[in-house]
Amino acid sequence: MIHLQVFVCAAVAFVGAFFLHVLVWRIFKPRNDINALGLVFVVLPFVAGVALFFVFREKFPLAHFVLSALLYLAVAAAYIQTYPGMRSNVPTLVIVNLVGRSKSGLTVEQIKTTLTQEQMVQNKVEELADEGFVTIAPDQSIQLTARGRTLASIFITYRRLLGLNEGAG
Amino acid sequence: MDNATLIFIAVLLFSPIGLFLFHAVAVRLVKSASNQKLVMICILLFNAPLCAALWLFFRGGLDAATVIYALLVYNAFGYCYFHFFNLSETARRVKIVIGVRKGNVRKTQDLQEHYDYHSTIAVRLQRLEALGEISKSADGVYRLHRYILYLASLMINAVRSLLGFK
Repeated sequence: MIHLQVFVCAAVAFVGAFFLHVLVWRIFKPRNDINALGLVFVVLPFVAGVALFFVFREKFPLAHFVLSALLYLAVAAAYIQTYPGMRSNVPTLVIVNLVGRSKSGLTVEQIKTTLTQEQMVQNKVEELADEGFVTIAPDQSIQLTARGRTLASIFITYRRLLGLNEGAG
Repeated sequence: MDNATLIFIAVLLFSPIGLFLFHAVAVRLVKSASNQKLVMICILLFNAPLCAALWLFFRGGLDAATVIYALLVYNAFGYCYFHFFNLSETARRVKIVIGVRKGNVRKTQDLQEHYDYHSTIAVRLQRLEALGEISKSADGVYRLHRYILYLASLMINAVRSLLGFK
């Protein structure tokens, strides 16, 4: 049912989108990078894919186009999910990396000299504000935007449905 | 597009919902020391019912390319699901947003109280120990025990450099 063409098209689309992503990020780092990732990995490939499908529709059946798009989207979604961890230095991976590079091992105090309190919390609020999840007033009070309320509701509901308490963060 | 292709696509598209239900049942039935380990096991195990469903639907007439395709798509979705779960479990930003939503965080100064730095590090070290990635010796020194997450951290650092992050 699946032809090699499907795998090749999905792979070419992902490599193309990734190349564009590297190019854009090296020229200028978008302030709202989640939206920019959506543009690079979803909107542009979708537009290009539909245009190419209409050009080559006699050689490329609709089923192949849809199957290629599904495989591409699954892989692109996996990359997009990995991206926030790359951007903001996930503490868990930083800890593993520090411990792994140290020949004699590390104590908690040594780990804390690299992972400072500011890195762990304060920068996160600024990122949330940059991405439009919260607003910070001049008196330092934090308000959720509609986007932030939606994000909070999604995760509260998800944990409740799973039967788990709130994550430890 | 024929019906078989449509059903094949529908099964793959709905596989994350099936995985979520499977995970929700597993959480209630299995008491695991690590929520992350449990979700990884669920993702791997769910390959079996997915392949069985496709095999039954196609009455054993699946070719190798179709099975590889289905496994690629499902496991990419499974990887996304793992990250989504991880966000709910470990993400600092999600914890902050939920703290603001519940009224526990009103000002930036409240964050230090809501998000205790020392326990945050301790929780991560415990998780890594529970996953078997690091081990703690009697003198309180942490050493690498397995290389899976260490290799992931090296890969992520490589892509960070490629993207021009410092």
